[in-house]
Amino acid sequence: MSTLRITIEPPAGPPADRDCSGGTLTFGRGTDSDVVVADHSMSRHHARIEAEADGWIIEDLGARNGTFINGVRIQGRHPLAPGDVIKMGATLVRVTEPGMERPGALGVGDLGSSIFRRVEDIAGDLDESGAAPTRVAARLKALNDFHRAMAEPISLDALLELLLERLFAALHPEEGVILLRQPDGTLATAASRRLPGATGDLLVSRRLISEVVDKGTAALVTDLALDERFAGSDSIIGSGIRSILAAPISDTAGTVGMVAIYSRAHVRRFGEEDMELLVSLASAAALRIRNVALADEAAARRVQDRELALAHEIQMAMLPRHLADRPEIDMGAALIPARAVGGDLYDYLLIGDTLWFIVADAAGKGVSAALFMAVTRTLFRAVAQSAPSVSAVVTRMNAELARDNERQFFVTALVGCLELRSGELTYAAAGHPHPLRASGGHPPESTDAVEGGIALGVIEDAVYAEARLTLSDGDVLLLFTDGVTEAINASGELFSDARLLRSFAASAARPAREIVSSLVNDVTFFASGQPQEDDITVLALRYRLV
Amino acid sequence: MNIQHSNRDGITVIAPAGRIDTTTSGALEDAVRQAVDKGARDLVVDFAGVDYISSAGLRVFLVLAKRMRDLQGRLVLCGMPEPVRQVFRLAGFMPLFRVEPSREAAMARIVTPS
Repeated sequence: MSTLRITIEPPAGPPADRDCSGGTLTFGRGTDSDVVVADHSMSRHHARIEAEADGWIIEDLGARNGTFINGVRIQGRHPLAPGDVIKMGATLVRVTEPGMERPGALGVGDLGSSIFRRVEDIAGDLDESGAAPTRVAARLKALNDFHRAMAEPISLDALLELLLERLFAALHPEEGVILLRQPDGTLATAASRRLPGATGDLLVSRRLISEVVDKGTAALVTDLALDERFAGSDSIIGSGIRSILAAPISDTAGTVGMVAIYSRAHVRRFGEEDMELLVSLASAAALRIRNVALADEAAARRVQDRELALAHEIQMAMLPRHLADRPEIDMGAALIPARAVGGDLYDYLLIGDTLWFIVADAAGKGVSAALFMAVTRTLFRAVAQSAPSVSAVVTRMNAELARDNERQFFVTALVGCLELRSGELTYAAAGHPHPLRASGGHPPESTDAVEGGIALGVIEDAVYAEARLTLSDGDVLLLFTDGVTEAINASGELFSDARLLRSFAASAARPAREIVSSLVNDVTFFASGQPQEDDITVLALRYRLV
Repeated sequence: MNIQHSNRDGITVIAPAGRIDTTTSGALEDAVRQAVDKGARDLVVDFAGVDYISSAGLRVFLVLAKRMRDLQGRLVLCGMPEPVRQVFRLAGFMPLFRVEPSREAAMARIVTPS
């Protein structure tokens, strides 16, 4: 198989050569083509040249404007031979063999058109630069200005803008771009600038990134059209860019990004002195970029912390500020979120001689749980005002929460209703632990005579049974969330129902507020040194027959 | 938490191990979602290696059960240690799932649904 030389002549910009000795070569406007041509009359995937056993063929890939060989439009596949001229859109592709004379064409590869240099070598060369004294002065001034500006507090965006501005002032490119490494390791454009009138997409060659960022070298490309390194899959033939200067942004800890400037042939070609200045500015910027990025991150975290602190306040304000003030009841409650905001809730409503109360625990932690908690509280308050029974309240709350609940958020809840005149208590448990009751000096017990229903929000038409019992004078009810019983100590043990019952037994004779605080102390002491895994909520309620 | 996958006779078995809580439930949710995305319609989740499951962990299985119902797939849970079973039971979720004691029983339940 003979080698083909393909010369691509885009409508604007200089021609470029590719040698093919086998395989396939795709042409198109799309950046995934082997040869990307900035020609709007070409299709994204225009045509393909392919080596076959007995010669070369070209295949039109269904291009809108067609593919022509020597002036004749081809359909599908067509043999290709040296001497053929292919037309794709406004682009001409000449097929020759290496060594064949191409009238008017430039020589290839013998100009040494690009220079890659290790950054350290350039930094060492700076003092001995043979440039004219006035230019050196101008460049030193640019460097000085930049250093001085960076001594002031500056945001990352302002720092990058300043770097581009100094580069444009000193080196007069038409386009400039700064790429920075993102937290996920990829590179993204952090700043860019172009002279008015520059058109088309700003192209950053993957090849250039690999030379500059991965290898830590500065790159000076003085004639892109002649540079084989950039004739690969992401070639930018036809973009009109002729000269590129790029430097890594590196400090001792590594490369954080790169800065590249571009020029079109008729404007200006960059030289080695320009490269030295770019490298100096880039390394001066590097240290500050890392520091500023850290400072920006810290500032963002502070904003987030403030937001969370505010959210915490809002959430705490949803809890009752004062507990019910009636001679029949003595209440105490505590809620300790594991994070700034949490999914636990307690609340009560006093309607005439009826006390409604709820303790609930929305699944998960943090903001999502907190939002679900807020919705649950609002529902409880709205529904308890008018519903005829505990069962009806819980059933309606569930139906509301379950509607369109694709993500299956759920909340466990214990809702109760105490008739203050009689001590009659009705309650329903939805996926939630039943209350404990301490009565007549006996050890406290769970009140789980009636089986609880499913947590709220899961099954839209779930129905909840209610349990009834009558409180005697002096009886204490203790409601809690599983953050109490599932608190973990250093040896991985759970606080458990047994410890809860013991703690309650020890404090049951004391005022409600103290029952709560001593239980919270017991849990905190038990789990000391361990991170709190879940929100902890306790509500104690003593009934007095008046 | 570590998540084992296996496939036998067209039945996908997912066996998480360790704690399923707020921190780890995201990874588990991704793992089961991917299994279903790849076409698993007969799914067994083996809890034998699970020490603890929180409410955030439960949510993963609610979402999975809902999705399997929508896709008319089959989901069987098995090997639940008592503390894990307790958490499912307390939340009232046991009736939502088909639960078998062992992996063998769970696979058999899928092969010949009762």
